[in-house]
This record gives sequence, structure tokens and C-alpha cells, in this order.
Amino acid sequence: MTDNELMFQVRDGNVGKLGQLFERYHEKLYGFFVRHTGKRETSEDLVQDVFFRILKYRQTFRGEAPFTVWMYQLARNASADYFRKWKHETPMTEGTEERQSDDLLPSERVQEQEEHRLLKQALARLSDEKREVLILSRYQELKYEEIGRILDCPVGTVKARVHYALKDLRDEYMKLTGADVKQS
Amino acid sequence: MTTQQHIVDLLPDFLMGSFTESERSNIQSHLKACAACGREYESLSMLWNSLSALPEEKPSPAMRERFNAMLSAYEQGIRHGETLSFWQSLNGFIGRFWPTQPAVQFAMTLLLLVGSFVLGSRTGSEGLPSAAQASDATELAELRGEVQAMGRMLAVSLLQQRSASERIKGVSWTERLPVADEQVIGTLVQTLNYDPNVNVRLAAMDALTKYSEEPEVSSSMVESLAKQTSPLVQLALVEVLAQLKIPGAAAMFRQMLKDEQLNKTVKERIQERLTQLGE
Repeated sequence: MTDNELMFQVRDGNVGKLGQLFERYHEKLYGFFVRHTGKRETSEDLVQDVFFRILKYRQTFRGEAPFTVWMYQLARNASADYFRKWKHETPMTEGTEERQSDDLLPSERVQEQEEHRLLKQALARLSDEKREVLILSRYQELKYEEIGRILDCPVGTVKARVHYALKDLRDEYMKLTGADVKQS
Repeated sequence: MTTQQHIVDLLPDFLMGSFTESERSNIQSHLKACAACGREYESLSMLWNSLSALPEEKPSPAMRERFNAMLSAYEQGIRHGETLSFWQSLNGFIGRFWPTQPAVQFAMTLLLLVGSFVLGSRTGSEGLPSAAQASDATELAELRGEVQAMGRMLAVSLLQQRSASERIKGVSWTERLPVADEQVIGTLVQTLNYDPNVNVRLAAMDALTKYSEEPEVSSSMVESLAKQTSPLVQLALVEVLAQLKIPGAAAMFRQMLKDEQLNKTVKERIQERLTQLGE
């Protein structure tokens, strides 16, 4: 059953079907929040909030766009509400702490962890807008057109933002490493 | 595509794997021939690939439990019209709503004590003469009244808790009360107007909708629209007020439209609903 078919059932009162959508998307959503905020507990709360909102607003689902577009719109609202309320918290500071992978030699692991740490730091230094567009395009398996609908902007703007975000990421990464990831 | 035309604008699409095979091959040829574009592509693609190497984070297993608890509480909430047996209510409550605050736990314990006594009276009356049964029935009704009062106290106590999830439980508990009195309604209205958490406010709105036929409740809901700051709650209230055709809603909608700061989506929705209401 497609996402939209499931959501239509949820909308029409068979709310138990939301369980299937949860299974399909809670990890992706968690990834979206944790990469954006760098905060694991906050991200779990936000995922819960998104599914709560899906229930609350199920009557407003029209299915004109894929379910994921609607879900990420709710996710952005949940995140904005959260950081508006807790003004002293910022979405990202240093990135999340690395968890170890087991199949590497200790020296390789150290190097890999260092690269990841720097990349996360570089990501954390981007503006929220740029970090968000990179996360949506790189990790959420969304097309530019879908991202445009989520962010409510034309596809051309999404592509330009991805490009600028990558350039900024490169600059920040260079500052952190001193490495020559040469730009034009 | 010539080497004179730079193609950096196409790189985001190229990185995403868009374009047909022949278009991709043209772009690759250009990248080899044009040093500027080639360098730009090389550095961007290196970062693009590094991003995918960042390990995925997994949520804790507790998240699924929390979701399941929320879903079953919600399902129960939308079925509140159906009659549940005392035991079903009790089991459901213990499973999902056992409070964490000592004061509320005390209230809950008292509630269970009275509840047990009611059940004891019910089973104890079997086989007794009809006069004794009638007396027991009166006693039973009184005790049920006490259970209702305790349930009300519990709901109101939960609504005062600091934790948002406890307050949501409080709202859910009010929906289980067969009759909501002035105190419960008043607390729900306060919650709808002033609770700092959007989800709690939305839950309170849903609970109040059940009593919207009472003029005081419906007018409180209309007035609450002006107090809301979150577009989400505004949208939800506009929908409910318009759907139930609550008196005074249209006037409030028009008043809202005068606010220049009003969220664009809310504004559009209000205009749609005003048209539907024939205003």
C-alpha cells in the first residue's frame, strides 16, 4: 500500500494505519532532526511531535503531493515551534558525538572519526537554511521538486541553495582542516 | 554544450544523478575539457560523497513505545463515544495514564479504592431480596458519583502538572468523564487559552468540541481564537468553529482578518471559511 493510500485511511478514521507510516519514516525523520539539531533527545521528541501533528491534522491531508512532502512540512513547523519556544537553544552547535564502527583498524577509525567530526562541525556552522536543504537533498531521498514544495520555493531556488550550501560547506571544511578543497 | 559555456549551475542536478545518459556524458566531457568547471565539480562532489559517508543515527527503542502509547491513547480518545466497561477503562488507564506525581498517585489510589468498593457492592447484592437490591442500587449510584468526582479531581490535577505529556493525559482523562462540570470546562478553557504547549492546547480544543453545544463553551472557543499565537492552533480552531457553525465565529473571523500580522495561510483559510459560511 502506498504512503498516500495509508494516509487516506488514517484521515478517514482508521488511525491505526499510522503505525505503518511510523515504521516507514520514523528513522528518516529522526535522521532529519538529529542532523539538523545535533540533539538526540530533542530529535526524538520532535519525531513524536510530528506523528502527533499528523493525527491532529489528518483531516487536512489532501494527497495532492506525496505524503512525505506533507510530513516534512509538519516536521519543519514542529522544529520551528520548538526553537521559538526554547529561544536559548540553537538548532546546532558542534554536531553529535560520533558512534564507533567496528570493522576498521584503530588508526583508520581515528582518522575516519576525525573526518566525520570535522564534517559535522562544518555542517553545524552553516546557516539553518543551507544545512536544511543539504539534509533534505542528501539524506532524505527527496527530489528537488519535492524539496521545493516542502520549502515553498521554486525548484531553481532549491538547486541554487544546494549549490551555495555545498560551497559554504567547502569553505567551512577548509577553514577547519586547512585542506585544499579548491574552489573556482 | 561548449567549453566556453560554464556548467556550474547544472552541478547540483548532476550530483543528484539527474539527466539522461547522453546528457551526463556531455557534462562529463565538458568537465574534462574545462578546468574551472572540472575543479568546481571535483571539490563539490568530494563533499557530496563525504556527506553520504556520515553514519546514520538510530533512535532509541523507547521512541516506538512512546509512539504506540500515543496512538492507542488517541484511538481511545476518538472512540470516547463508545461505552467502555469499568474494567476496560481501568485497565486502559493503568496501562497508559498512571501518573508520575505523588499527589496525583494518591488521588488515583483513592479513586481505585472507591472503584473497588463499587464493584464489591455490585457483586455482593446478587441473590438479595429486591428491597435490599434497591438500597444497594442507591448506594451504587452514590458511589459512582464519587468515582466521577475523583475522576474529575484527577483530570484537573493532571492539567496542572509541569510536564506537557502529563497535561495531555489530563485532557484525555476529561474525555472519559461521563459529565464534565463547570470546573473541568473552566480548566480546559484555561488550558486552550494559556497552555505553553501547542499539542496540549490542541488536545484541549478537541476535548471542548465535545461540549460545543453549550453556549458558554462555544463562546469561549470563539474568544480563544483571538488569544492564540500559533498558526497551527488558529487553523485548527478556525476549522472547528466553521464546521460547527458556531454563532459569533464569522464576526471573530472578520476581526482576525484586520490583523496585519496574521499568518498568510490562516488568513486564506479564514477567507475560504467565511465564503462557505455565506459571509
